[in-house]
Amino acid sequence: MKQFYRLCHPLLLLLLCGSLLLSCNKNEQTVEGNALFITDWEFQYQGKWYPAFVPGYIHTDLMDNNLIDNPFYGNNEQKLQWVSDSCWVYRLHFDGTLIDLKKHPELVFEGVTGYAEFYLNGQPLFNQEGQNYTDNSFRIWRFPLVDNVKDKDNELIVKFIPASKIIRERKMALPYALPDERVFLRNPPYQGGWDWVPKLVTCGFSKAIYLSQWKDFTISNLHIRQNHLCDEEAHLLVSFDILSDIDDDITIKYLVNDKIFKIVRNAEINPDTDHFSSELTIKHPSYWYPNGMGEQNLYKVSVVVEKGSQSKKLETRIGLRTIELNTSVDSIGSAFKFLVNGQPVFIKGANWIPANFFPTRLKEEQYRQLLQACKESNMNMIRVWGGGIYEPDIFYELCDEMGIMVWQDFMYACALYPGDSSFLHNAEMEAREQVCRLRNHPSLAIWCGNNEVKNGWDDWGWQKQYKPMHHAEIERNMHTLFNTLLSNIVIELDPYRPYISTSPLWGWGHPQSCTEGDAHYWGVWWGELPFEIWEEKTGRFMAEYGFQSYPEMNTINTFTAENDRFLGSAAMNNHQKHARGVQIINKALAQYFYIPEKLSDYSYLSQLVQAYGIGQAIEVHRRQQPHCMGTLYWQLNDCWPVASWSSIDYYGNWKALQYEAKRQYAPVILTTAPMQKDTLPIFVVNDSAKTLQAKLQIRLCEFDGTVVDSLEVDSLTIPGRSSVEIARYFLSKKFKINKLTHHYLLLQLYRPDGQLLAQKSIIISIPISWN
Amino acid sequence: MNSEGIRMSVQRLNAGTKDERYIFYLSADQLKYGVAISTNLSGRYSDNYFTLLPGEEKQVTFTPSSPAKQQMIYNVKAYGK
Repeated sequence: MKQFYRLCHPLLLLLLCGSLLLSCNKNEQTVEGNALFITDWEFQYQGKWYPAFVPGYIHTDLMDNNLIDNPFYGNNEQKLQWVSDSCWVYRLHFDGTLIDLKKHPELVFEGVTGYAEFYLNGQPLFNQEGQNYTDNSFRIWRFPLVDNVKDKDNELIVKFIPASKIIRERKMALPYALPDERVFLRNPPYQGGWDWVPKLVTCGFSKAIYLSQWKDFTISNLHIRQNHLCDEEAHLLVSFDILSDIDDDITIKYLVNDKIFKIVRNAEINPDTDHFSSELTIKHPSYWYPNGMGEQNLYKVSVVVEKGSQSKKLETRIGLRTIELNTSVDSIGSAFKFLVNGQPVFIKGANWIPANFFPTRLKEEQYRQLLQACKESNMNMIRVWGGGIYEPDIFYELCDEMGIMVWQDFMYACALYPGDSSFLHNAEMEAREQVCRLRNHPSLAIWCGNNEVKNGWDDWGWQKQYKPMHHAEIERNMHTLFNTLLSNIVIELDPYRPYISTSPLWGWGHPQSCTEGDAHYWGVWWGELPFEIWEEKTGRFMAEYGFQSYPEMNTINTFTAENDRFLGSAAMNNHQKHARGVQIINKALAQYFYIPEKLSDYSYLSQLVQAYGIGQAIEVHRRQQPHCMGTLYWQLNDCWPVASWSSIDYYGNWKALQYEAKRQYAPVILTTAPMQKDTLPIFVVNDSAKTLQAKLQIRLCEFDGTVVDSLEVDSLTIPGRSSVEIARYFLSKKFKINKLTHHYLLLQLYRPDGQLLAQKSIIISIPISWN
Repeated sequence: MNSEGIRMSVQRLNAGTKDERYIFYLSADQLKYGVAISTNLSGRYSDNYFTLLPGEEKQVTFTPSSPAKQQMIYNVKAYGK
């Protein structure tokens, strides 16, 4: 994309299509032709000006100008911390000929990471908040141009102040310390470092910049609310905002799939008009379903507003479906069950982090490949984790098309947040913009207030440090932000979408984590417990759990010199961000496989042990439905080449776990419960709605294929959407299990007509015992 | 790691076109666990890191990211000391 922008001249480029990945979002887009302001930016380094690329960050600009080394290589990260602690100045010279002060011109910055001050021709430039600075990466910043614009050679200066300086100033205003100081600036949380990511606090223009102008009126914020859905009809409320500086009549056309559904003539607009809405009915709607449940039918809905020869258009794409979250109290505790189009759905998926540390580097193709991998792996949900970013529109559009439901966290994670009025106002505006941007997407299944804030407050020792007065204030602030403010915004702007205030409901040390709401189970990995514990620690919905592995050697080679390719080298250490990472992997290897010497073997075996452990978790969670109604392992992807919990590495290579997830997420699987004395309970998990008729073939074989025992179970009836025990295999009546060191059990499920429905080979002993 | 006892051959289809594919054929007389194919080309495997049962004729399709300009070099390994 960078090259494309650079080829575009003259200075101002007309944005007429929505194909630019990181440009203004489609819902907001009008056909008025906003002029992009993304070329000819410069930034200053050691007194000299260098070309800057928009969208981009200071780190990517320094890299692209060969002024710093690749921060992902070796331990360069450590050597580049000065970038975060420096002040950075960007500038743009532009002609004012396109700017018409009568047309309400605004310079719109769709994303500004860091804290930035704005100056036009030497004077402070003020935004919609009346500030000449921006301090929230997740908001769109609009700077009205009211005067001070020249015909030629205007100079726009944007000065980025180090986040550390802003944080220092802001934390002084609080009489107590918060556990993580990054909370004082609304930056993407992960950029301050996490246990799978470098610490590279960056700044820059993370999305498009454009000049917005309008004559007579402008329209925005198209919203399609689905008020009713049944097989016969869908009732939609279509609404949009309008701004006008004239008194006049307009014609409004409502279109579905480019066909006119409704025309409203002689609608009056005047400077007080702000909103229009109309009900539309779609007869015999085609439903949208998640992957594995049915088709992903989509409808294009457009609004065209005409005044004389002027015509302005808004367009969006929707799917007709209902998504409900049942959290009702039941005999176990409280449920966490999604229903789509009235049917319960077992959720299968993973957690998503930004797919590049510098998200502006991503192209549509990379989003497509990752989400296609989810689809191919039989997933139906992805959780956009609250320590990352609200993803760009293309992410959600692809999820709509592929049937991947989105669990969307608001971007708050693992920390306590301030509660002053300025912070809350900023949070409110952010939430309003993001909810309005994303609410038309059929894939969007749930809003969640934060990741692990309640969990941290309950369990991570934070509470001890506070005096009672401050303790009460912090609790109040948490409640205000997550239980009142965000919740109310979702109720107001997106009333049919479920909202939960935090994830998980209980930390994994609490017994309630297995009986109430969603759980993040980290007893495996953090607690260093063996994989067999999954059986006892299955909650109602497993929103996080995971185990690390190293990426393949092709990936390791990209960040190491040949003589650094051993565990413990500085380069390898810098790509293992968990303090006990190697130790925990070694413990599992020693238990199930063995600890190899060569790094290439270590990378391979770490992937095998990760797939071995997480594959088992998926089986257990699915088998334990309806107690458990969903499983999302941590984590799908990486944002740089690193040892991590991911199943797909930074370059898109599938690790062993991704193949295993694909197998374990198959619509129909065979699985076994733990041995009960001398018998092995055999289960089928059937995600399809249909009842299956089947027969089961069991064979106990030696590693060379010699069959030592076999059994057939006929006339099985397996209900739809269920996990059922179909047989018990009396194993140790005939054999001593500890003698079965080189044996496997082959389970095959056939339809009555002989077609294979599912197959599973279970190796009786653990791999380490074969050596 | 141990690739001993794995029989493997490869067939190249639609060479030099955008539909270029490689089919790997694998079999073994003894069960092999964690069977992983790797190549010098980037692309996608229809399956990998799988269990190969004795007597099973396993086919894996490899789709390169772009038509290969160089000769494919491939390798297979399985769990074992």
